[in-house]
Amino acid sequence: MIKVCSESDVFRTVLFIEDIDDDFESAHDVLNSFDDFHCPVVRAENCSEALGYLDNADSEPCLILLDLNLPGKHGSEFLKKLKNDCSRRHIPIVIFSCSDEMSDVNACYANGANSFVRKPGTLEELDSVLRSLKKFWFQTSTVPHLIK
Amino acid sequence: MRVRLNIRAQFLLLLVTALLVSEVILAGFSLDRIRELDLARSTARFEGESALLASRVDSEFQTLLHDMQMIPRTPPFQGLIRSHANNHYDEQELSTSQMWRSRLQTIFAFTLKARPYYMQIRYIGDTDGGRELVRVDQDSKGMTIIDGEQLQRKSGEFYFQETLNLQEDEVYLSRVTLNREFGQKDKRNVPTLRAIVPVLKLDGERFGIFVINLDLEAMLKDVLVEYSPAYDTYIYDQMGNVAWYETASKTAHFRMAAENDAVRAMLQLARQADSDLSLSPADINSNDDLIYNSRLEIGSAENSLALTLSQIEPSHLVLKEANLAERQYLMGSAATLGMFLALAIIAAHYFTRPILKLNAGILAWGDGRSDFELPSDRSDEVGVLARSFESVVSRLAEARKSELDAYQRVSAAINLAVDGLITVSSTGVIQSINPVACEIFASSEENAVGEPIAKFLPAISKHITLGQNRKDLLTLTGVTSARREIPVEVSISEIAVSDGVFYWVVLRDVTERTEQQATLEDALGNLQRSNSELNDFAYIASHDLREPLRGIQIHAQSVLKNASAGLDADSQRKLERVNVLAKRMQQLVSDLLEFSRLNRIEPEGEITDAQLVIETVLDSLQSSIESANAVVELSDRLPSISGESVHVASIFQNLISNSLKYNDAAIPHIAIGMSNFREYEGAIYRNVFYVRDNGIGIHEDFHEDVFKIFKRLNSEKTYGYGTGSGLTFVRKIVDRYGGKIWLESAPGKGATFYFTLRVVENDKGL
Repeated sequence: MIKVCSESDVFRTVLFIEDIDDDFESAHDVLNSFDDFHCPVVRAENCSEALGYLDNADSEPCLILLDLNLPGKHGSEFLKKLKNDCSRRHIPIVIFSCSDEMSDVNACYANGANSFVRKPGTLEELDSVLRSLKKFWFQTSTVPHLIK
Repeated sequence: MRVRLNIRAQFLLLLVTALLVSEVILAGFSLDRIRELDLARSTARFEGESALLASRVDSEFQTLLHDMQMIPRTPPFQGLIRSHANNHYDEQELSTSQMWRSRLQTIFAFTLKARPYYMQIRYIGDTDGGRELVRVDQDSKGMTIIDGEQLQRKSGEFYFQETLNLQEDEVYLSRVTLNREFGQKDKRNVPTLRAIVPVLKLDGERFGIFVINLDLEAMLKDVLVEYSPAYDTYIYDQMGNVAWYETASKTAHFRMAAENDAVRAMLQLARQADSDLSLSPADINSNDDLIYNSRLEIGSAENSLALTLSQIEPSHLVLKEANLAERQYLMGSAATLGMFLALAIIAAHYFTRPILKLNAGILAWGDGRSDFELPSDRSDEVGVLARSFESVVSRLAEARKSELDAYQRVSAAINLAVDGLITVSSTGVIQSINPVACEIFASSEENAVGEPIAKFLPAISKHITLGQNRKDLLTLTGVTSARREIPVEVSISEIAVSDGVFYWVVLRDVTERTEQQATLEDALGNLQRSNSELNDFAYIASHDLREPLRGIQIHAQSVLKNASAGLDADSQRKLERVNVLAKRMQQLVSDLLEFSRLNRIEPEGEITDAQLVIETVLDSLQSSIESANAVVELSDRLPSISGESVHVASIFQNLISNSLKYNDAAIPHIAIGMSNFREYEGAIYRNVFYVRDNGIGIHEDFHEDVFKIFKRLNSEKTYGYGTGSGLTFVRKIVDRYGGKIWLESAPGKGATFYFTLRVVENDKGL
């Protein structure tokens, strides 16, 4: 049963799948600098770690940020796996990659990605991009919530 | 079976046939006519003779009939009647019966004397049993007056009975019978004809009869002998009594009816004959006698004697003239035919001799026995034939000579060819082999010819298939006579000749080439591998380089933002510099990535309207153009081209940006358009796009360098920063689309970049 997530709910986690520490750190820093962002961010360094988290966590994340260029399994594999899984395909996945290949973009949307955001090169841009993401996914749109 | 005749025989046959046909036609008409005429002549002769003979016979009978009329009118007839009626005394003339009889005997005797064929003249009374009243006989010995007891009663005789009802003056002619005396046949066997008239009293009552006996035999025989007809002649009555004349013996005969079988048969035939005058020669057979019948009626209808006169032309005389003419004609024809045949043989010989001579000449020449000598100087058809043949032969000789030349050339070519050449029979046996092929297989011509090709090329058999022509090159393994395996390249052609096919095998030892090729393929493989690795490297490197760069940049910015207060001015400036350099490196890496991406352009694909592209590019550069105070002139409507719009846009974008950037003119002027033709380095290019400016220009030395990646000609301080990859991108794109790019420029003279892209013809009416 899908329940609408409301303000009163416990803040749900954001799963951030990113192998490069610098990238995770800078993004995490920026997110934490936002006053109105309270969701805990859980990091997974690769796909198997992320899957392990999903299997074991008490509640599912309300959003997944996914880098494509990952060690081991490529991010698009993870995307396909999740979007082909009936019990998890509702979880919104935002691709957060430095790739500007149009073929990558098209492939991700085709596989069910909910959004494709290019990783910016400067701090200013990073701030702006993450602010937009926060505003859209946590303050604008409603995300699905499956109650176990 | 069809008989084949030579010209001579045909000629003879034609002549003989023509002659025969004409003779047969002529003979058919003329001989027929001759026969008709001959028959008509025969008939006319018959007719004339019959008529004459009949009139003779008739005249004899007319005499008899005349006598029969005249004698009973003499006075003693009535005197005797009167004396009989008056007891033998005639008071009127004062005469007794005896006196009248005596007078009558005198009259009868005189008559008999004048008529040698009359045998008896009698006056018979009806009374006293038909007693003869007066009778005078005559025979060869003389005359006898019968009187007294010699006079007979004749009422029992047939003629007496048959004449009882005769009218006055009516003459009765009896059947011919042998004479009878006293009821007995006369020993002399005389065929007798009796002529009888009634003798009437004055009151019309019948008194008796007057009879004359005629010796018919004597009469007819005499008439016939006297007349001597030209044909055998028969005169016969209804009873079949006949008198005839034989021309052979010139004698006449007489027979009573049915006395002689041969005569009877003759008469039978004569009776059947019909004197039909319309008889035609065609009705007559060679053994037919011709019989002409004419009929003679004597006396009145009731008591007439009907005689038939038959004249016979024996078969050997029938149409004798016509037959003679026919024989003469046939003999003449045969003679003519023979003569013509002889002439024809001579003529045929004369006509065919030149042909035979021509033939002999040709044969002799063909066998090489003599020079070529034909009767070509003749003016007739044979001469024409000879001349034609000579011309053909001379052409043939020329052809043979050129054929021989060609053969020698071909032989030389085969022997000197760089490839091995082998001809193989349809059964796979080597027929010929050239030196190169021998060398390839380390064999000799003597050892190879006659051997199966499979000995040298074991795998060839499955490629030699009847009716299949393999023009493609096969690479097979050959086996030399030293049993060494070598790679050979083989092509097989099937060649059809009159008696089947053979195969033409061209082969080449490719050992060396195979080795070279292997080396080349290795090198190519290495090259492709390294190229691909380089490409991957450029992509991966640029991609992976960006991550640490991004970290450096963001961290530096983060420090500058959050901790700049704790830094001195120099450190802060250097940190700023780190940021700038990282940014520049980011740009370089991006360009490198873009460049490696351009390598993957596939030239097939979309069609782009260059006009739309240029308009979009100019729009996007609007602010730069305005700030540079530049004038951009688009001189032609650009056509549609084959290429992705983003790449086409990139070309124009880079070129126009450069034109704006490297320009010191007060009013930068940029012209964009397309030339139909443009020459570059000796080649003519069609549909050449250009972007021309009045900028600073490029020295000729750098016309090639400008296209190198990251190559910059000017300091960034003079014309601003750039990575130096724009023109590299442009050239890469043009190259990938198969186009050509070049420039014309000199320092201070501006620059014009030309490039070609594949224009899609006739699109949108262009």
